[in-house]
Amino acid sequence: MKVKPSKFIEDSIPFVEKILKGLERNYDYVSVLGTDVFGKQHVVTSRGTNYNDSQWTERGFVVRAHDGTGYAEFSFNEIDDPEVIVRRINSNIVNNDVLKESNLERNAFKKIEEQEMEESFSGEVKILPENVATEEKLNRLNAMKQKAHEASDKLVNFFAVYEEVTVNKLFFSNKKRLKQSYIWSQGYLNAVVRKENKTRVSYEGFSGLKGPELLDEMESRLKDIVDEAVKLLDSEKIKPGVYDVICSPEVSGLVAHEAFGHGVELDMFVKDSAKAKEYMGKMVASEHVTMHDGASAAKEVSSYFFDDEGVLGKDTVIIKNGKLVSGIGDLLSSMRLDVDPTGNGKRESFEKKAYSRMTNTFFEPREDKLEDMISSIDKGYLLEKYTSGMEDPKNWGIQCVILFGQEIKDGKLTGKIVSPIFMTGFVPDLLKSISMVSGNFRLSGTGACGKGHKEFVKVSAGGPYIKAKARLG
Amino acid sequence: MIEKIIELLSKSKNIDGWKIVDDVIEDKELFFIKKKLDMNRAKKVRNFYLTVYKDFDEEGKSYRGSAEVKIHPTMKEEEIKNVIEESAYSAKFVKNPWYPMVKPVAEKVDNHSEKQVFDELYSLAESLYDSDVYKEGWINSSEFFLNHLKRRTVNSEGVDCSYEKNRLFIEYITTWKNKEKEGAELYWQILISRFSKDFIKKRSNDSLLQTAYRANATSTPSVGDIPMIISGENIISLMAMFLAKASSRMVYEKISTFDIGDNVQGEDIKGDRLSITIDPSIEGSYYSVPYDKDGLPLKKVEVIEDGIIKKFWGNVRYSHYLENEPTGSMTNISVKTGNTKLDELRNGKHLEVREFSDFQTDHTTGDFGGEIRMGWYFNGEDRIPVTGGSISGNLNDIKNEMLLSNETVSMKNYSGPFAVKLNNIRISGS
Repeated sequence: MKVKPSKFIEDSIPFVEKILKGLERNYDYVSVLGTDVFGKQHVVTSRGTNYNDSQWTERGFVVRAHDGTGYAEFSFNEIDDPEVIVRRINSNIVNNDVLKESNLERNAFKKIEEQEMEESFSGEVKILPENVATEEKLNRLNAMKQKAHEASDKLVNFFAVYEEVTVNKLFFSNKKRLKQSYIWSQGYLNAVVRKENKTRVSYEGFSGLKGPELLDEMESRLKDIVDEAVKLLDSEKIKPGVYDVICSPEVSGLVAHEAFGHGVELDMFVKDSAKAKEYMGKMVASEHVTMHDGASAAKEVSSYFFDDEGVLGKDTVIIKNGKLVSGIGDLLSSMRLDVDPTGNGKRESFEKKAYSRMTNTFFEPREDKLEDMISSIDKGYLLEKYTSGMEDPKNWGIQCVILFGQEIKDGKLTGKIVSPIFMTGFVPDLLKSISMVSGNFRLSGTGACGKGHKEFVKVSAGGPYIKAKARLG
Repeated sequence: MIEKIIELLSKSKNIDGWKIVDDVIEDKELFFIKKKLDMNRAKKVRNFYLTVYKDFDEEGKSYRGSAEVKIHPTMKEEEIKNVIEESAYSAKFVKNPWYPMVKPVAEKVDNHSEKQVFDELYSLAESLYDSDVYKEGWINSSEFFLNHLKRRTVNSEGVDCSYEKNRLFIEYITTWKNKEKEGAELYWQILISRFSKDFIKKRSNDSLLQTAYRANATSTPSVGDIPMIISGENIISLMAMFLAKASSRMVYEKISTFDIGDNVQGEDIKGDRLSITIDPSIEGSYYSVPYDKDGLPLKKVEVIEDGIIKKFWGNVRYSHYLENEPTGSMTNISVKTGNTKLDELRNGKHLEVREFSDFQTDHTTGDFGGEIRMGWYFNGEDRIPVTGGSISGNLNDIKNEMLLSNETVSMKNYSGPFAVKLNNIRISGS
């Protein structure tokens, strides 16, 4: 079913046009991003229920203006007389007397040159969120909790979370008139189990450009998650060392995201904060590795028609058969580096600055079979699921916290489980060690990605199973 | 507009209570690449966070459902009315045991209201760069967010409290090049509400010198089972894990198994005994506030004393479930210092980690760890800067053998020992 456009966005158009007109008198480039993002989060735990607006809910505007030297922005969410807004923008960000008196040196930017474009986009989902009552959504989550408790007496808490979000955005500038509406949803099932004083957790995330149909997927995985958590109660600590590993699609997605996603964000190139800048056109991974990022490269939570700077989403090949061929950029960083923008300029909300950010990031699948990958390992681990990741683009360091690993000995899974695992290392060493890549392919878009420790945005990541060599601790 | 929302709420026949948190945030932001201003931003936003309560009985038990929604200032009357009615309808299916709302207090609360100080931003930014004087190292980029929060909390029980607060968040990246001209970077944050240019200058100078150590660090060797010291900012996350054991929400949800009177450090304690206080008024803390979001006035509360839980902490809902007086939700923590000087903690072979790539803690399982971004390995003779590899551990394995430093530090939401020495940590060399 087609996603209906936001009435607020439609009604705001005359206001936005007036602001543009008011500012165009003084500035050679002006744009307005308007947002109306709404949704609900439904949370059922073993001991309670919560129903609230999604944390991604936002409604407001951000104006960007070029004053002949650089760009400045103003975010607001109250609709006053457009002339008042124009005056506020003038005094707050561009003709700011205190800024002028401070004698701060400014970086100069060229004016953004755009092609005339007037387009709108509406996404589709199987079921619209408003067509399923809150009562039914909460009842289904409650039933999942109930079944989870029936599956094991070791379960001390079970969290079932379902969140649905409708995104509506408008981007108007001197030459562009763009609108988009789409829906994404995500869900989590978390099982907390306990034996004596040992507590373990397993989880699974669900996501996509979907509506309440996501609940069907969640119900189908219920028992496996509880069983997995119970198995983790008998997990052991890993002996630190370097091992042959197979990364599940979720873990390979984390590797793609942390290892080379953050490392090729072009605002990091502008700041000379990314080692990847020195490696453009060079081999950075084994020839088995081809890696993509892009809003149009896949259908997941970060698939959009245009980004928060009015650039259309693309499918960017970052690594082609091991060679680093492209970065991913926001508009201003791309201008600074004299490359085409890739549609990766994203804001946490209208209240925040746009940065170069990932969208859907993944390794391309190949032909290897998972069974063959396992049988090729004498001693190693099959790494499954993760809890977090972090990168160091300047020094190409990576940290992936893996939920658990299944031991492989003499080409077979032994049934022994280790948890948790810290996978660390030097990115090119890890990527160059990739020797097998499976045909299976999965993307996941739960959670959020930060820039440093803030500016959270929705992304997805994934890929096939990959075999590599990694330091585990 | 808040009067309009209250009027619509009072007309609704389908709700049994409500709470509104009205936030007005104005801020000025500066973004630098090296010493040049790359972009400046400003914002003025207002948001109303509305909670609607619906009471009902089932099989002789009383329940209180709720729905939390955001009211945008651009919503017209009809839209607000629809949001209220939809929330009231949905709250009927949120089946939580009944709990009270916060009631007004007679005592006067000092709300520390502050006027906006935006004009200071430019000179505060310059103070970060006052330490940027080294040939091999510099501040590579920085971001400044000076904001003024005006918060008012109103509820249907008659609570009407407010405060205004200035806060400054600085994020910056420092770079240092070693003799081989290889650059290293470290990431830093300053979160403060008392704006001292000297403090900012000292912090940025310390950051630059730490980056020099990082640039000249060698790979962390395989060191086997030796004690480790966590110093600096990451001690906050570790102490927060102990505090979580006494969170009323964690106890109610059965994530924490502790009760009042239990010792969070177990038996046979060989190291320092932990004393942790939640404190809403740590001087200069970004997170110091007079009320929580329910409108409950906040006070300093000793939660853990000598390892023993004296009181659970939490908001009015979970405190009621555990039949405790609510402390309110707050972020600041204060930890009593230990008796050992930092120099003594550094005796004997050990690994000290100052910066992790991302120090991860799991309050449910007790697991913690991270990749070492910058630390020192003391082999008994030399203190060698190291980087790479990782550490991991579990709270159960370290809780009874911790030594806290006598030296203190105040940063972010924390005031307490600068360092803690731990045993039973798995260290993986790089």
